[in-house]
Amino acid sequence: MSDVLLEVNGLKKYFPIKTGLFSKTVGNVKAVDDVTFKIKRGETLGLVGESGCGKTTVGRALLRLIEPTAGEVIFDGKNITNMPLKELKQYRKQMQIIFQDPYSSLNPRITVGGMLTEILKFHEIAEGDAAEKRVEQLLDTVGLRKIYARRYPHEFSGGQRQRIGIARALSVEPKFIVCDEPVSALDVSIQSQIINLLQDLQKDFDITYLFISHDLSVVEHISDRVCVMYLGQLVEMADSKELYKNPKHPYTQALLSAVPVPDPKNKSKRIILTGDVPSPANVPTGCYFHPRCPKVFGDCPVIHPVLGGNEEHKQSCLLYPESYPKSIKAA
Amino acid sequence: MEQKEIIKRETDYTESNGLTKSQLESQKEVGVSYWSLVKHQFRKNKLAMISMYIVIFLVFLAVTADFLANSKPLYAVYKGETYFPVIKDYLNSTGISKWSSDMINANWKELDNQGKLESVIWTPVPYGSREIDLVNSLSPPQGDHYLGTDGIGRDLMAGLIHGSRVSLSVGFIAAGIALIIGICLGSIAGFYGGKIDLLIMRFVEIMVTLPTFFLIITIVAIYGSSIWYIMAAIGFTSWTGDAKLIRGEVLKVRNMEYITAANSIGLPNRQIIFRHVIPNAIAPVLVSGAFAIAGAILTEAALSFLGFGVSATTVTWGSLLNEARGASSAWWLAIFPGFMIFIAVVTYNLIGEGLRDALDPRLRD
Repeated sequence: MSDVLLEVNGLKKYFPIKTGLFSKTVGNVKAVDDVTFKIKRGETLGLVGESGCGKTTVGRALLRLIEPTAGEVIFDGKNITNMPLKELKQYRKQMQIIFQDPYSSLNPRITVGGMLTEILKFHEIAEGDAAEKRVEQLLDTVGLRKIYARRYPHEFSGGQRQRIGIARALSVEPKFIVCDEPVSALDVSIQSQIINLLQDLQKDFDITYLFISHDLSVVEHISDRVCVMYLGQLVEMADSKELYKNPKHPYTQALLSAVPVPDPKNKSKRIILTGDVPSPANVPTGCYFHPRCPKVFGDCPVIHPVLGGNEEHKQSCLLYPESYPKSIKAA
Repeated sequence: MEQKEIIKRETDYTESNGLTKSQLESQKEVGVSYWSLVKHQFRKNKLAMISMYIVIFLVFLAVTADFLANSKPLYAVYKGETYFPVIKDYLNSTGISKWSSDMINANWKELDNQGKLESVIWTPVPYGSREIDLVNSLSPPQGDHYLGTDGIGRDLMAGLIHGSRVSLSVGFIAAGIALIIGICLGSIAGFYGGKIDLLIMRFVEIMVTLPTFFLIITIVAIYGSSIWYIMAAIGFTSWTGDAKLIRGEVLKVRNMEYITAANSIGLPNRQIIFRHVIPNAIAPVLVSGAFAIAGAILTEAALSFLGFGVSATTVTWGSLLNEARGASSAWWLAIFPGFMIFIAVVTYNLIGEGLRDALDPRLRD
């Protein structure tokens, strides 16, 4: 058994832009553009970036909730990218997702118990009394009372709903869970409860997480490794401690400088990015970040950097010679 | 372990959902479903509740019509034998029993008038809807004829009671057919989208252009008049609004995260549509269903009024109203059937409106 649970190679998701009477495709929104990474068993990989940079699309494409345009997803040694839906069913059991918005992620017409029982029955995990017991057990695991099984989602608070969402993901006993901004819709006090719950579950059930968030401090707390995304591409990938101590890409540096530090005496200089995020339908030439980069120089608008560096810390920025594409390096 | 205890402790509180404290306490064990909230909200609307009771009363009239207005008595003793003629008629129609040969053409009224019945209990309105009494034609409301009679002496009260059967069944069945077709096609169009959606919606647009009224008149002209043709014709032409409505709702619901969640579990599309999509998309369609019942009743009344509707022997509110055309002095023939149609249409509209308000989350306090 290899220690890599999930491998993503060259994942792309383009959304075609259609106009006119005959829906002619006039361009593509490159939501995810050539993303490659690996997740080891039992680790938490953080994925951070601005709104609209394609974080969520990565999470959904690798679960095949959105069909990727290109690239492959290898889960536990098996390529699931082109797998027929029937075969995919058993992989659905192993990969789950926790959603951002606890208010729209639960069906308002079904009780919590009804929802969980449906899943248990469908995947032939438990039925009848056994299912009822399992539901109680699941609710207990996520810190909710057993009697809540008979209640409807609108009777719960945001934090409780997020716990129910976690119980749903856990119900099929998955190996891997995509946490798609699971705490960004919650109060800060509830956020820490949910984060702690996720960490405990990881220890107890040996689950691997892909933790998507725009909140850098949350990601620092929970992740073993962190990927930074910008305009559909990974710009930096490093071990969590290394990244926060020694960010290499100017975009990461700008992001980290924006994290508030609870110390009034600390007056570190914030790097203010100018301009808006370019449209993913019409990306800049060369390095995607160059129009906003404070350290831009001659090569930036011309050469598109690649993710380079050692295993512990990779970045795609032309300030570092290892990020030049091979063909240009040779020249 | 200590950390775990902290997580397990309940720190979140249930939101109140606009229910009073005592209600909240009483539902600790079992959750309050969406529909019980809607019911609670609907009950607060007095006009809608009154309409609801009127509809229940009309349904009661329709179901028990034979026991309320009949040319035969409920109970009679004749030549030492006890008869229940109304019930006996029901049994005969199912083939369980038969009238004996001497009783088959018995005129109970004549027997009663001649004093031959030892004991008798008549229905509240002692006339059948088709009982012709030429002597008492165009009689104003008086005596036994509580609401008067029409041009061939049929009792108006009996006609209204029996006519409610036709009106209500046309309303329910036509609206039911329309709802079923509309929900099926609309949800398929909305859920799958793309080419399927395009095809179904163009089909809807073609159907919209068909004039219901003239279609029914054509059907009646070709196949003869029958209540079933009318129900089917109204049902098969009026589903387009429901289909468009549910398509829009499904488009909205389809993008909710709980549908993505159901997909991530791997549930088949059929289960997702019927268990997760339709229950969340159906509410506005039910409102339009209530309005559709009113519309169908009105269409049937209009057809019968024009004489295109049901066969001449069937009494409906519309056909009674038709009688008023030939007898302009007989005000009762216009007022009472017209009032019944008015009441039925208004109550269904009020129920529809009450439902719409009850389903609107913004109006919930």
